Amino acid sequence: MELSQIWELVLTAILRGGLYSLMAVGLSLVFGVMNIPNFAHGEFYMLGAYVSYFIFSTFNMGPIAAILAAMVATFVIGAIVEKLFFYPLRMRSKDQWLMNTFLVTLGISIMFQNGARVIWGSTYRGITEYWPGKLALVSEMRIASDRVIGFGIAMVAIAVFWVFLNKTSLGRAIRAVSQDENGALLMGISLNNIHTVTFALSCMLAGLAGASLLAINPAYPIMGVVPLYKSWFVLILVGMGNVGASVFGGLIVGVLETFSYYMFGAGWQDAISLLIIIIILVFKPAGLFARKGVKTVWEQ
Amino acid sequence: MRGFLRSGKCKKLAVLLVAVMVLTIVAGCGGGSKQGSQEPKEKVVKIGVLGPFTGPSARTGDEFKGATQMAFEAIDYKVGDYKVELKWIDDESDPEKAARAYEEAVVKDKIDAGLGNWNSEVSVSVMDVAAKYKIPHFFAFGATEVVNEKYKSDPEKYSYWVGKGWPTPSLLSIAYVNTLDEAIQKGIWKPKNKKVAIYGVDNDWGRSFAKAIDKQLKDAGWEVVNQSFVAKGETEFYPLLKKLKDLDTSLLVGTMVDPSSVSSFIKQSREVGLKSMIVCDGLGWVGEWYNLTGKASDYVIDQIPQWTTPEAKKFKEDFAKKLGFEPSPSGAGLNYDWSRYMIKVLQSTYDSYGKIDRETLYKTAKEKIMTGQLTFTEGVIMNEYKFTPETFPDPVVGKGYYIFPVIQYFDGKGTIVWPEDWKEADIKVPAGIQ
Amino acid sequence: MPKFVSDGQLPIFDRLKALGVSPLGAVLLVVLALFPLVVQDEYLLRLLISSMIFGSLAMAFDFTAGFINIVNFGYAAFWGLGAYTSGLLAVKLGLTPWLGIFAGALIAGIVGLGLGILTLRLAGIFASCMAWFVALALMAVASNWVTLTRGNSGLSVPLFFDSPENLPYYYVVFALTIITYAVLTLVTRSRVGLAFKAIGQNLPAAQASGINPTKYRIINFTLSCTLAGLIGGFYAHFVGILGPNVMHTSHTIEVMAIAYVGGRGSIWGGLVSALILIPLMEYLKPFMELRLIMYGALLVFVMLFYPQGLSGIYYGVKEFFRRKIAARGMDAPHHN
Repeated sequence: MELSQIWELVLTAILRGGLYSLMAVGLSLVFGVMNIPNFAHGEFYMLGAYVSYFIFSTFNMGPIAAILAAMVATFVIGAIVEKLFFYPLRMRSKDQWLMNTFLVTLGISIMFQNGARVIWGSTYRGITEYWPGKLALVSEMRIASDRVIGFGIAMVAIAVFWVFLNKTSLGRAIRAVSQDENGALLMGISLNNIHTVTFALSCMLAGLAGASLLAINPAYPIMGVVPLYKSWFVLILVGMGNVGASVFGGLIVGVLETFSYYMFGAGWQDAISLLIIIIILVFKPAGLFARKGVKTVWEQ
Repeated sequence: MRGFLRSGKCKKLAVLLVAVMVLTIVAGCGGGSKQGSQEPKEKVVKIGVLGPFTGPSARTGDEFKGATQMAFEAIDYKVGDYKVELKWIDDESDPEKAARAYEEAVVKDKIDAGLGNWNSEVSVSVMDVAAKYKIPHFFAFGATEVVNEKYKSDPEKYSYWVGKGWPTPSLLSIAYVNTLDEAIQKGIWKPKNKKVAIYGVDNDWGRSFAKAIDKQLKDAGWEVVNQSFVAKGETEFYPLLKKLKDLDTSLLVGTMVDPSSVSSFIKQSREVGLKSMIVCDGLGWVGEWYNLTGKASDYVIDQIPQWTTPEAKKFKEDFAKKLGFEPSPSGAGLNYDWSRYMIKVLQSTYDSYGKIDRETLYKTAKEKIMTGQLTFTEGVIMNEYKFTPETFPDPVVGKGYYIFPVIQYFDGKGTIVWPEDWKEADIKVPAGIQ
Repeated sequence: MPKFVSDGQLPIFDRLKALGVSPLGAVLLVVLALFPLVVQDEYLLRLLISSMIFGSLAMAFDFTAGFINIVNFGYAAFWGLGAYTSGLLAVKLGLTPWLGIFAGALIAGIVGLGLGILTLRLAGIFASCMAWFVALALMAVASNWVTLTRGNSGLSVPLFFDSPENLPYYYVVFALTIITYAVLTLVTRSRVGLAFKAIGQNLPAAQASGINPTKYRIINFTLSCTLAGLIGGFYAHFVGILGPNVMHTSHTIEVMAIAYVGGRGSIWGGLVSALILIPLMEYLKPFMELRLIMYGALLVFVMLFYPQGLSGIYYGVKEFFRRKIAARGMDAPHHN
């Protein structure tokens, strides 16, 4: 393969991976801080897509407004969901937490998917593009502006998020809770608020992902399933609970899929990507960058 | 006394007693439901309409439901002195659940006949249930060869599966080969080579289409350099398109039914700079396709019936007004026609036998439909819906009967480029490819 | 857990007790056994067949999830493996389904064993994830190895019986359900079962008492997968058409939900839960999506308020009445 061909592939992989990173960061956050394996993550992606569609197409406001609206909406809905479902569960019992919460998120996922279908029907709500034009970045490829900007938004969001987690007091409080809940409590941190904010932030990131790529992924009720699975791939590959590494994990999975698609294609690309992930897991079952210190999941 | 109450004998007795009680209650309910339904004063014929009303293909299910409703509303749900009742059977695109739901409709709701469906796997599993209860099921859309194979394995038993509403992909895909060959012969298109790549969604439809057109292209002298399948719902096609671009084929043929996939595929093919003529079967499948795809769809070739006649256009408007979304000619449009054919079947049965029930409907099917005597010519989409013993279970495909025109898209509208009789314009080849 | 009371009068009853069949459970089994003879409704029979398929699958799933605390997230793949093995043997070699389903069980068991050896050394969640990936990979292979499995075009599989009646199928699946239940209960009540529970509840203590956790986990996992394969074989020859979607994660989740609503660690909970949920969902069908929204809400409700599931409710009620009776017994003077 010539250099330009490889460069094209790498670029493709990075663009694909950027989306995965954004989704995975949110998922990782919820898992690391609240120990909830969120199976409804994809539905917030879906909600973000729908909200941005309506703001952009029906109300004819610009792309920025659409994406911001999606972020706000998913943040709010996420907060409501947390208060409504996870707060009572926390108050009741922590027994079998992992599986209980998993099934709760499953129930939420089913409700949201079918609720979306009831409210908005099954038609595909998509747009041709947010930002017109294409960018000539490499040889003959004219990459849609949407895709590049979408990637840019994802990277900016992750960067902002990193700053938030490390430099602001709220962010540090979240990290404190993820490391040691009791210790955080002793420090006067309100656990309930932190949990709500964490979950809401995670949903917001998913909503952002869904909104920024509306031109590539039109909104429809079950659109969240595949992004959900891919996010989990990233998490499992990288080490659950390791928020920072999930950024790279997204890019890794993107590269993996792109290259196996290119080289094997014909339908076998999924099998090959999975096989590679399996092999990696055999040698590093806790993930490539598994970190000690974050709640390991021996404890239920 | 307490000693007896605790003894094993007592417990065993209790168990048996309770078991018998439960069984009697259940038997009573089960029997009761049979006696409870009195003979209705009105004559009613019940039709079980099968379709994916929930689940992954619900988008199609919505169209089918709307179209069937409109067809029967137009006759006010009356045929002769019979009232027509529609029972919606949700197959959820799952063969096991479909068989369950169908059996329920037969046993509990006592449907007299069945109509329609979408997924081929569902067709195969429901065929057995229809055969079991001798329910004539009409015009199901499950199209791939697996249905034909099952039918041929025992034509007598499966004669209750009266015809497919959509022919096997190979019967339609040949039109693409013909169109392109014509363009080459006329000199409109001078392809740089005779290499072609095939792509498809990885389900029964995509696989069946790919297999069919692979053979047809090879027979026409093309070299198939690649066959790729993508998961349903996939929207990231850069790697695949890059690969196809690097293969430097002059033609790209395939099908992807999912609107999100197909719109992304076409848009991204432009971004990657693919220099091939593109055939994308099913690009225009759903009404809202152009919103998703836009100008990138120019020059793409597809096979979708168009809303050509005034009746067709009226149907389209009425549907959009009633249901709130744009119908698709190959979805709602076709289903509307097949539903109206069904109504004709009901009418014909009534006229011939004076009553409409499973036996008489089956008789009409066997004697009139399968022989090609009773056909439907008032369709809004196709000229004539007809079956013959040779083509059964597929409908007759060809000019004057069931035929999809091959179209080329410009600005979201399809220009018919084949067959000759309907041609609106010759194929145009985009500048970069010639 | 009900105590072992031996009356010495009716050994059958004691043996039933040994199998964990309470009087209520016995009623259920008798009703199920005699049902088709009393009720001639073909549709109800089919409904119960489906319920028993999913019930058995749920029981075998609970065997792993409820006892050694490992969620087999790739469960549907073993179900699918059994189905494809039996189906392919019938289609390609003409093997009768009566043997085919056992071949299916065997293959599923072997793969389960292999997977278990590979991953059960680790913490539960990693085994779960690995099982998930293996299942996804198997599904991808089934889709793409078209020459063998016909992939997504669908494999037509010969049915068990030529006659279309549901009655014979009913008794076959009933037998399979009984076998599944009996095997699982006997194992859980044996010393091996005690080891499972020890590992599931208190791993360090179990290790301290000299139990090799990996060995027992592998036994458990393999057995669970074998049974899934057995039922999968039945599924293939009952439905008559097989596609790679059988192995899809959503099927694992369906079984998981049934098992958990039934109550983990109970075995019978899965069967009862299936017998309730599946007919319930069918009767709600006219509600279309609303039905699924209700299902989601039910899951949330159960996990929030009754995480122990149906079995938890049952034992809770029993305990409540036992206390009441005991209290009354203490107050009242002794009669004889």
